[in-house]
Amino acid sequence: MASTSDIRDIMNLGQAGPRQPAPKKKRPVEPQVRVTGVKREVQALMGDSVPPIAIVEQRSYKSRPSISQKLFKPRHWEERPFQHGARTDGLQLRHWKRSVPGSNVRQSSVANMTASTDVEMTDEPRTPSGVQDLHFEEEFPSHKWDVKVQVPSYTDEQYETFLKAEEWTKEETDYLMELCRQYDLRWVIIADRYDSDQIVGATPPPETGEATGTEVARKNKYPARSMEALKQRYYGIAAKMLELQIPASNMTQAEFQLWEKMRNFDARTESMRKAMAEKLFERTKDEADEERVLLEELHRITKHEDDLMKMRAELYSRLEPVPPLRRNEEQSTAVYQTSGGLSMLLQTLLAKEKRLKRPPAPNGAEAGTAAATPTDSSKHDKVRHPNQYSRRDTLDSQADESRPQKKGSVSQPSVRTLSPQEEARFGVSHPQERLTSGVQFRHEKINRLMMAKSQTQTAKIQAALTELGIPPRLLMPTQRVCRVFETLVGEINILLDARKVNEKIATEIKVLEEARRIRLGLPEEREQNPAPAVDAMDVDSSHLVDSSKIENGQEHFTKEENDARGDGSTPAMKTEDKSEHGGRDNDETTMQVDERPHEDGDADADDDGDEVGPSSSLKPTENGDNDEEEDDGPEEEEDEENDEDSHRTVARADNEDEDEDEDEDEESDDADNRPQIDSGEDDDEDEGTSEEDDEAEVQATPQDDSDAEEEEEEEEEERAEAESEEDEGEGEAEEDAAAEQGTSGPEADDSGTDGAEDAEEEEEEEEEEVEGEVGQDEEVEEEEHVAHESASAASLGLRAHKRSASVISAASRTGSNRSGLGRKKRR
Amino acid sequence: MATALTSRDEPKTAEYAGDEVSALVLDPGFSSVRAGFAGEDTPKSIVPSFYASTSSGRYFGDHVIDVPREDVEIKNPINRDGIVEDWDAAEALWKHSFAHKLTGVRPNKALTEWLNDPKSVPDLQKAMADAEDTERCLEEHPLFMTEPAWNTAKNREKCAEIALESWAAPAFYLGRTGVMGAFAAGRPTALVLDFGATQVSVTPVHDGMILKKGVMRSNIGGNYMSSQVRNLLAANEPDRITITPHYLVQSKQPVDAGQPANFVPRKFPEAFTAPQPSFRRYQEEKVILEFKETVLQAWTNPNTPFRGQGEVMAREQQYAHPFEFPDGYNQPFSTEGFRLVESMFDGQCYYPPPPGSEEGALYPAPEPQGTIPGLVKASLSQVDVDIRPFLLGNVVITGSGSLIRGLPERIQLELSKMYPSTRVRIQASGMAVERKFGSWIGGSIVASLGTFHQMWISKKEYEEHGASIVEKRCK
Ligand SMILES: Nc1ncnc2c1ncn2[C@@H]1O[C@H](COP(=O)(O)OP(=O)(O)OP(=O)(O)O)[C@@H](O)[C@H]1O
Ligand SMILES: [Mg+2]
Repeated sequence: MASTSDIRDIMNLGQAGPRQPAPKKKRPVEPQVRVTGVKREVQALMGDSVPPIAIVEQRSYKSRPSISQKLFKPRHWEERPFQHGARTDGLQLRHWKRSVPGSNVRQSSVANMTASTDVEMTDEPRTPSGVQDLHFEEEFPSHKWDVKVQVPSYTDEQYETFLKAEEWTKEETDYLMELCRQYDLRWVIIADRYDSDQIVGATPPPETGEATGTEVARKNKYPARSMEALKQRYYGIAAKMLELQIPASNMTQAEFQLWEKMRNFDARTESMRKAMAEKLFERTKDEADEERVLLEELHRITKHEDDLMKMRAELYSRLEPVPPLRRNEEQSTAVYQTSGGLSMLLQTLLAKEKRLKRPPAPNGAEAGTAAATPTDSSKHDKVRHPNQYSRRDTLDSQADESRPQKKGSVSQPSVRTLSPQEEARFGVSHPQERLTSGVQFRHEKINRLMMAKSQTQTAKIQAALTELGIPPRLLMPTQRVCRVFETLVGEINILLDARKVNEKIATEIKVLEEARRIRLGLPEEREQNPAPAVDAMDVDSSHLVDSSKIENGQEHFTKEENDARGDGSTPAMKTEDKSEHGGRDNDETTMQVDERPHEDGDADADDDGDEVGPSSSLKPTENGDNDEEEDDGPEEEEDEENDEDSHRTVARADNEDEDEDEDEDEESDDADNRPQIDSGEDDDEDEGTSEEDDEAEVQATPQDDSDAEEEEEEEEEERAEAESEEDEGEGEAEEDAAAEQGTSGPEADDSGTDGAEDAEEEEEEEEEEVEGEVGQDEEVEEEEHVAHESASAASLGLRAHKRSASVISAASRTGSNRSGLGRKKRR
Repeated sequence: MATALTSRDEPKTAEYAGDEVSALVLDPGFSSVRAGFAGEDTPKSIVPSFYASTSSGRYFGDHVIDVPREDVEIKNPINRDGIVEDWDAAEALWKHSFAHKLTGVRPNKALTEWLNDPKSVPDLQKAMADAEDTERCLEEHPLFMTEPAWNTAKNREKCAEIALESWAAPAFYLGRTGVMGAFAAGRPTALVLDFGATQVSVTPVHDGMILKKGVMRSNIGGNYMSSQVRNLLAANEPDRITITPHYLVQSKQPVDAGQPANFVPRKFPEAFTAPQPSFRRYQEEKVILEFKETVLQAWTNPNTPFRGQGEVMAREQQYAHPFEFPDGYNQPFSTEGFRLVESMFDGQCYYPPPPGSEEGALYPAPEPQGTIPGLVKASLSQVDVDIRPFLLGNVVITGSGSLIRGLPERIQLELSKMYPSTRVRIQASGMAVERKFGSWIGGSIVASLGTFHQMWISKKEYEEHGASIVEKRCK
C-alpha cells in the first residue's frame, strides 16, 4: 500500500507536513585502532588526524582456495568428430566438447555445474586410471531446425488432367515449383531469382530443327513473370492439389481456410495493391507532410470530438434561421456600428465565453441559461430554446460569425499579398461599392433584399424561398452564397412580377368571362370552375405527401385527407382557379406550381415557362380574401398569424417536430408555413415519433407531439405566442405550433365538409390527384436538386471558414436535412 | 528432416549457442585479405591484397612488400571490379593469409625426413602423393569464403576447387559480402551499403539472401576516392602537390603551411634498378589513405546543400584539417575534404583530372544513378514494394570506405529526403573495426552457427556433383 507520502514522492511534491529532519546518520564511532608496530611517540606526532594511508599492518592476504592441488583438476575437453543431423553425406566435422564424467554420483551435480564453470572441482581424488567413461554434452539438435516447407508435387498425369493452364507450360511450372521448394516459398526471393532463361527442357516450338530458332523461340516463350503471376500459379496448383488430396468436405478447418485463401488469390487486386503501395512509397516530402498534418488533425479532432460536437450544436443553434424581424434586427446591428456598441458586443461575447467554460448545468435545471448557452447538444435542450432567446443568440452569432472575417480582411498584414485562392479562403474581398462604416452583416443586406415594398410581396418572396428549401436567413452567408442568393431573389422578384401581371390578366379574363356568362346566362360556370383550383392544391399537397413519404417512409398518404384538404382549399383558391383558363391542364398547373421555383435557374423548366404558375406558396395573398368569404373563425386566426407571422416563425423555428409543420394547413397559411418548416432543420424525426401523440380531428400524424395540446390551444394562439416569448421551453414552441394547427384543423375540416358537397368536384379531384402523383416524381427530383444545392452551399460556406472535415460533413448533412425538411411534408 | 515446427517449440539454451567447428573464414577484398577462425570477433590475419612480384618470386604481407626491391612490381590479383583475375597469385596470397599465421604450414616430409635419409623414402608413388600432401593445409578446417554479389559462376567454382582440392578443406561455403555485412549488424533483412575499395555496392538482403536484381554497384569506392585525392592535389593552388612516398624521403625539415617542402631525398645505389611505377603508386596510395583518414568528411548540414552555400561555409576554420605529406609539405584542407565526399552524392562535385592523366578514364565523374542516392534508388526499385520499408528501416553501412566522418549521418539525411514517407534507420556500427571487417565478422558468425553446418559443401558432395554444386548451395 502506498502511503500519501509515497504518492507525494512520486508526484515530486514536497512533504505534506513540516519537513522532518533527515534521520541523522549514525556515525559508528569506531574504536581507535591501536596501531601496533609504531612507536607511541611517533603516533603522538600525528595527533588526532588520521594518517592518509592506513598504516595498519595487513596481517594476512586473501587465502588460497582451500582445495589442495591434488583435488583441483581441469575439466576434460576433447575435440570430437560429429555428424550434423541434417546432413546426409556423412560429413564429419570436429568440435570441442566438454566431458560429463560418467560416475553416477556426480551426474546430478555436474548437470548444474556445466554452465558455470570450466573447472571441475572434485572432493575426492580421481583415480588417474581413467576408468570412468566420458560422456559428452549433447550434440546440437540440428535435425530439429531442419524444417522444410511442404510444396505440393504432382505427377505428369495430374498435371495433364488438372493443372494445365494456357499461360504456363509444364516446364515453366516445374521450374516455379522447384524454386518454391528451394526458397521455402519466400516469394520475394522467388520472384527475384525467377529467371526464365534457366528453365530447362523446354519443349521446342514448331521449328524444331534449327538450334538458333529454338533458342529465340524459347526466349520468347517464357515471359518475365511478376511475383503476383507466380503466386497465382502456385496457389492455383496448391489449392488444386490440396483438393485432390482431401476433398473439400473432409478438410479440417485450417485446411479449408488455407484452401479458400489460395483459391481466392487474385493477382490483379494484388498488383493493384502493390501499385498503390508504390505510389504511397514514392510520395514527395510535401505529400508526406500533408498527410502527417492531416493525421494529426484527425487525431486532434477525434480527441476533441465531444467538444466539437458541443461547439457545433451551439453554432447551429445560433444559425437557426430567425424570421426577418426587421426593425429589431436593423436596430440591433445598428447598435454595433459604433465603437461603444462593439465593445459592448465584445463584453457579451466574453461573458458568453466564460459561461461556456463552466461545466454544463444539470439538465433542465436552468432552462434559461440552457437556452442562452445552447452548448448542450442533447435534443432536449434544443427543444427548450424559447424563441427570442434563440433569436438573440443568432444575433450574437451573427457578430460572432462575421467578425473573424471582417477582422481577417482588416488586420491582414499589408506586407502579405494574397493569391486569389487565398483570398477566397480567408474571405478577403475588395468590394467596389462604397461601404458604410462600422460592422455590417451580409445577411442584413440579404434581408433588405428580401424586403419588398409591400408586406405581401415580402411574404411571397419568403414563400418562394421556403419552397426552394432555403432558409430565410442564410445558413452561411459567405460572399458567394450571398451573391447567388441575390440573383435568386432578383429572379424571384421578376417571377412574382410576372405572375402579378398574369393574375391581372387572368382576372380580366375572368371578369370578361363573367360578363360573357352573364350575357349568355350560363349558370353553372361558377360551380364547375373550382375544380382546377382544387387540383392545383390537391396535387401540390399530394406531391408533398409523397415527397415526405419518400423521406420518412412511414407517412402515408391518405386520400381522404387530401380530398378534404382539396375541398377545403377549394373556396380559398376560387379566385385563383378561375384565373386558370379552361384550356390549361391540371397537370400543367401542378407542374407549374412545383417547378416554379426552378424556373429561374433550371433550363428544364417545363413548357409553360412563359406562365408563372400559381404556386401554393403564393396563395396566402388570396387566402385572406377567400377565407373571409368562406370561414369566419379561422379567418381571424389567420389574420393574426399574418400579423404576427414573424413571432410565429420564431416560435416555429424552435419546433422540434417537422410533423407539426406537416399538420399545419398550407392552404390557409402557406406563406407562414414555409419558414416554419425550414425552422425544423435541426429537428429529429425520431424524437417526434417517440413522443406521445394523440390525434385530433386534425390530420395529425401519430408522430406529432404537439397534438395533445392542439385542441386545447386552438383558440389560444395569441396566448401561446405570448408565452413562447417567455422563454419557457418546448412547451411554448409546441403550443405555438399547436395553436396554428388548431387553426388549420377546423379550417380544413370545414372546407372538407364544404367541398364534399359536390360529386362532380370530387370526381375531378380524384383525377387530378392521379395526375398530381404522376407529376410529382419530377418535382421530387427537382427538390432534391435544390436540396443538394443548398447543401453544397452550406458546406461551401463552412469550408470557407476552414472548419474541420467532420464539421463540414456534418454541416452538409444538416444542410441537406434542412432543405429536405424544407420540403413540405404532409400526410 | 523435421516437418513441423511451431512457434511454441522454443529452442533450448544449448540450441542458441554456436557450434564451432574451427572453420576458417576468409574475406578477400581488393585492399586486403582478412582471415581468421569462425567465432572470433575480428580476423586474426589481415594481409594486403597487393603483393610484390620480383624476378625471384612473390612476396606477401605488410612490410614485406613495402621494401623497395630491385625492379619490384606491386600487383593485385583482384581486378577493378573486385573479382579475382590472377588465380595463381590469389591462391598463393590467400594461403599466405591463413597459413602464415593461423593454421601453420604443414611440415613437408620430403624436406624434414627424407632429405637426409633416402632409405626411408617409400616407393615413389607414395612419395609423390605425400609431397602433394604438403599443400593440403586446410585439412582440418572447413573454409568459409566471401565473395562479391556480382561474382561470376566460373569464379565461384574456381574458389570451391581451390578450397576443396588444393587445400583439401573438408567443407566449403561461399557467402555474399552483402549478406555477411547484414549478419554482422545482426539483421537478416537489410539494405547493405558496402563501401569497399573497388566498389560502393548496395545489396538488398532478404531473409539472409541477396536479391540479385537489386544489387547495384558503382566504382566510387576507396580507389575512386584516392583518384579524386590525386586530382585534388594535382589541381592545388598555387602549386600542384606531388606525393613523395616515405621510401623516397631520407630526412625532412619542418616547413610552414603552404611552403615548399624541404627534404633530403633518399639515394639508391648506382646499380639499383628502381622499382616499377606500380611500387611507387602503391606507396603513394598509402599516403593517400592517410590523407583520406584525416581530411575526408561528409557534409551533414540538413538545411544547406553543400554545393554553393555549403562550400563557402565549409571554409571555416573549424572544419580545416592540416595534413603533412611525407616530405614535410603541409597544408590545411577544409572544403576539399567535404567536396571529395560530396562527389559520391553529387557528380558535380567531381574533381576533374589534370590534363593528360589516365585518372579520368578510370574514374570518371559518377553519373546520377552511380551516386549513393542513385544506387539506393535503383536498388529499391528492383525490389518488391512490400519489403522496401523494411529495407529502409535496416540500412547497414559497412566497409572501410564508410569510415569517413559523418558519412552515416549524411546517408541518413539523403535517404530520409528521398523517402519521406518511410522511416530510414541507418545501422552503422560505431566501432571502426566492425565496419572495417563487417563482411568477415558476418562470416564468422554464420560459420559458427550450429544450424549452418548443414549448408557446407562437403568434399564428398563436391566430388559427387562437381563444381556446379556451388551454384546450387550458395544461393
Ligand atoms: N578511414 C578511412 N577513410 C576513408 N577511406 C578509408 C578509410 N579506411 C580505409 N579506407 C578505404 O577503404 C578501402 C578499403 O575498404 P575495404 O577494406 O572494405 O575494401 P575491400 O573489401 O578490401 O575491397 P572490395 O570490397 O572492393 O573488394 C580502401 O580503398 C581504403 O582506402
Ligand atoms: Mg569488401
